[in-house]
Amino acid sequence: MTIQRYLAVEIGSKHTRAWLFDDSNGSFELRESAKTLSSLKTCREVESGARAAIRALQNKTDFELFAGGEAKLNFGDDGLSGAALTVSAGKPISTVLVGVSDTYSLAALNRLGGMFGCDIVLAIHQQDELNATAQLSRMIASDADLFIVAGGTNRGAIKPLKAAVDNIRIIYENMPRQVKPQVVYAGNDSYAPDAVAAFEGCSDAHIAGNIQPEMGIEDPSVVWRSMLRAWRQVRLSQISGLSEIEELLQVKALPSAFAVGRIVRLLDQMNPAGKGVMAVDLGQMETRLMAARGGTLAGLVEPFELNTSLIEMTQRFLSQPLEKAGVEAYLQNKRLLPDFIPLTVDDMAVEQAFIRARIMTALTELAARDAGFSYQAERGLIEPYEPIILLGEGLCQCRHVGQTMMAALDGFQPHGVTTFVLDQAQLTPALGALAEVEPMVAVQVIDSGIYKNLGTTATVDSPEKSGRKVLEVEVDESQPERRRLTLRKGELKRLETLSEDKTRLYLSPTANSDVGMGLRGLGGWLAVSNSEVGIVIDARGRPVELESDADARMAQIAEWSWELSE
Amino acid sequence: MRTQRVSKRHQILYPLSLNKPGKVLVRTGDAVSQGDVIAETHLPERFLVYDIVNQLKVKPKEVDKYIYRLNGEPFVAGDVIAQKPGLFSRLFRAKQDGKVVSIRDGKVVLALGEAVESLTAPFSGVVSELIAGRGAVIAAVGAVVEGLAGGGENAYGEFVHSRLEFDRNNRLEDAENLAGKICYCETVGHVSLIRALEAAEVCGLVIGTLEPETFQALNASGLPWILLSGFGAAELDQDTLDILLSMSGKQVHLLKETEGQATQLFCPSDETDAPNLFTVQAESTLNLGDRVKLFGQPYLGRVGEVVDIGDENETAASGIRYRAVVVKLIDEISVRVPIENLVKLLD
Repeated sequence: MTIQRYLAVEIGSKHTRAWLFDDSNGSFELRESAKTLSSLKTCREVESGARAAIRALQNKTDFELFAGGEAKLNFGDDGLSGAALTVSAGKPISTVLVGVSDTYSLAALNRLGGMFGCDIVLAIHQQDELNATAQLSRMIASDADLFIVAGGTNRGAIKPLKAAVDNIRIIYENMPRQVKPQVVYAGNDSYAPDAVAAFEGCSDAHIAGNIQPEMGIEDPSVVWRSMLRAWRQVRLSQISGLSEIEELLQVKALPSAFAVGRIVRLLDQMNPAGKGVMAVDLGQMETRLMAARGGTLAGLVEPFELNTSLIEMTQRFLSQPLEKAGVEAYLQNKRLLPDFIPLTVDDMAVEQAFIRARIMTALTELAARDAGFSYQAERGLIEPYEPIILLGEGLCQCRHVGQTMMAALDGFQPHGVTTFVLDQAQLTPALGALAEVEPMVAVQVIDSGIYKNLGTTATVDSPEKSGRKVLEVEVDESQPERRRLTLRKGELKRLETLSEDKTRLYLSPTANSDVGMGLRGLGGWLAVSNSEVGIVIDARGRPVELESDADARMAQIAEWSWELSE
Repeated sequence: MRTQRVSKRHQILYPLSLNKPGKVLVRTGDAVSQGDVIAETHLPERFLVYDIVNQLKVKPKEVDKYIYRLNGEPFVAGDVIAQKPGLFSRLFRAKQDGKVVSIRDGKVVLALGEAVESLTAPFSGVVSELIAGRGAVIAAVGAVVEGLAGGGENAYGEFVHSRLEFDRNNRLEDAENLAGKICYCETVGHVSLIRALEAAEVCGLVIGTLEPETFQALNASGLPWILLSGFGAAELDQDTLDILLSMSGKQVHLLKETEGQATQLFCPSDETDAPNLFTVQAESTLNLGDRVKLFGQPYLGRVGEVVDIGDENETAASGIRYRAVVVKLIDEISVRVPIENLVKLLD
């Protein structure tokens, strides 16, 4: 039997990673991985870093990845069957959104741009009070790398779109630029042929389907292909050495967040429970959040800024007595030296609190952009997502996985039952990119247990006062005796999953308490796989009630963290 | 790893580049003076969209016959662009020189006037390399202190050390002598100090450490600044202080961050020969004997020498495992820290 091998490379701002997958044992598994420092910072190009990562991977395996020196890769029957390339490095793409209306087309474009990490430098619509000259002047002043135009339902009016496309064409043809801007058209499809003609079919104009084909219907997926083409053109012009790596791997680069989105959608489709699936990637400079539910993907790629709100939120979740100035100084210094390793307990406390604050900020931002995403800062993540995949080095550096899970639990504040898994190898983007080349790689590698199962949480949402009984739990561990527990409002309880088989719990909430079984007061059986932390019953309520006194709050947070980490 | 250059004598290679393609006006080897134009680009000053149909009150189908210019055609101020003849003639005349850039759907778009964007040399030096169509790299020799962060535009002025204290009337001492100067502050701890420095018309700041609460105010002030040691409490090392003292009373440049160049304080010397040309330090690797600056409390900003680089991982109080580098500080204390928490000092 011929062994199929696939190589994936991820170029980040800090590291370049490479993975080799093969089916030598009958189904696809991760054979080996390698990580090197990205050459982007030191050499201002990515080629040498990517080659170094592939070389490091080759040294770890008994398989020759390179052929003919290092000029090309060993593709062929006895070599690699395919490759994939994802990129998370690079600054946000400066983007102008042009819509027909503020409420409909601009809002849809904002959501689309957020998914691709666009920095929206200007958003204008044809119903504002700007005349054509003023609109043109603002668009010129933006000096954007990308223009996205949308508006109108199919076969609707085209006049406003004509005006928008005309303005962009004037900028495209008359403003000198090192690299021409990319244009994505995602409006009324009656005007699409004219939009093609306006740019004379040049490769910088990308015509997509209508993002809002009918009133009240939005389908961003019809624009993804065009957005990917535009994103790639911008990145090729910004990142030196990227085209050489594409040539070496014989593949086109994909944004990492989009590739993660693909895995999230895949898992959502496979999810028997009908819950959504979510992934959060806490990168060094930006947060990436992808959430799929019922085939719909919502996403956000956003650089985080150390604003007052983020720092205050971090301060609220500290488990150590630190002044606000100290917290802020730590976080600002971390920006100067992003690779900084927290050595002290105080530093680690800031890191842990910061994880919570970043997750909450990203969820709030996504909910603000996308009304369909049900998160409220006061109530947490309302609709169930299972699993929630955690990525990012910050999440992997905790002393105990319980701390990671605790930070995620506080950050998401989920309702009902969910499971947190950790992608320690950071390979979700690679699997997403390979899914296009060979879908079985992603499916089988995930099935092989590549994600570390941190644990399952069951949240009790109850209006009861603190200290009042909200839930009774019966634990079936295939032992003659069943354990029985009572949970009171405000408590957080961890149950270890000791058996190799699934542990079964019967959750019996009080009449006005909700454990995500569909109705308040309704209980049921919960079967849980073996995991690192175990089962966490969170009866702290939503939102999590934190003590107002700083010392008491720190003790409270430390106690919860201890409960999950002991 | 992150590096920071603190050098009494170093050749800087400062790239200057237009945002848009243009014409480079210098050649390799040219000596340029501060303020000389290195490259420039010509752009339309503004665009004008004129709606012929609505302004001249003509039928959309007939609009072409009233437009007197072709797409792409240049014109001078006073030229008629479009005209509806007849008893009550209406016409559209250009107010500036320009070019027709679009005629579509009854609208004509004009590019009017010419704006020139110029790139000037921030200091005197020699053109060492051309950046095709965009600019050049300027070389010059002098004392250099790189910052870990910075903001604002380039600045030029006399370098002064001032106590920067407030008198009994809550006025900045010596404020009248700070105008147009680049000022060293050991620490900026209050927003009021930034306001006072703005009022004193200081043209730039070199800051040892910055209290986080002043960071936003400093950025909002528009004052050019560089930060040498980071945020929070730290002392500036003696070597850097000595170089800063040697710059006192001299004309210095605060140079903003550009591609591949950190924000820096540069004090040019009269020398033209390039030091360190054949003794380039390996910048991205750490070796025994290297001088490093420590990050993280309680050692923030302390400087020492690398005396050992461990082979095995150690566990920190936080629980994190890391590969330790042993750094001997000036006061003979040795500390074990991860390589990630060090900034390598380049001379």
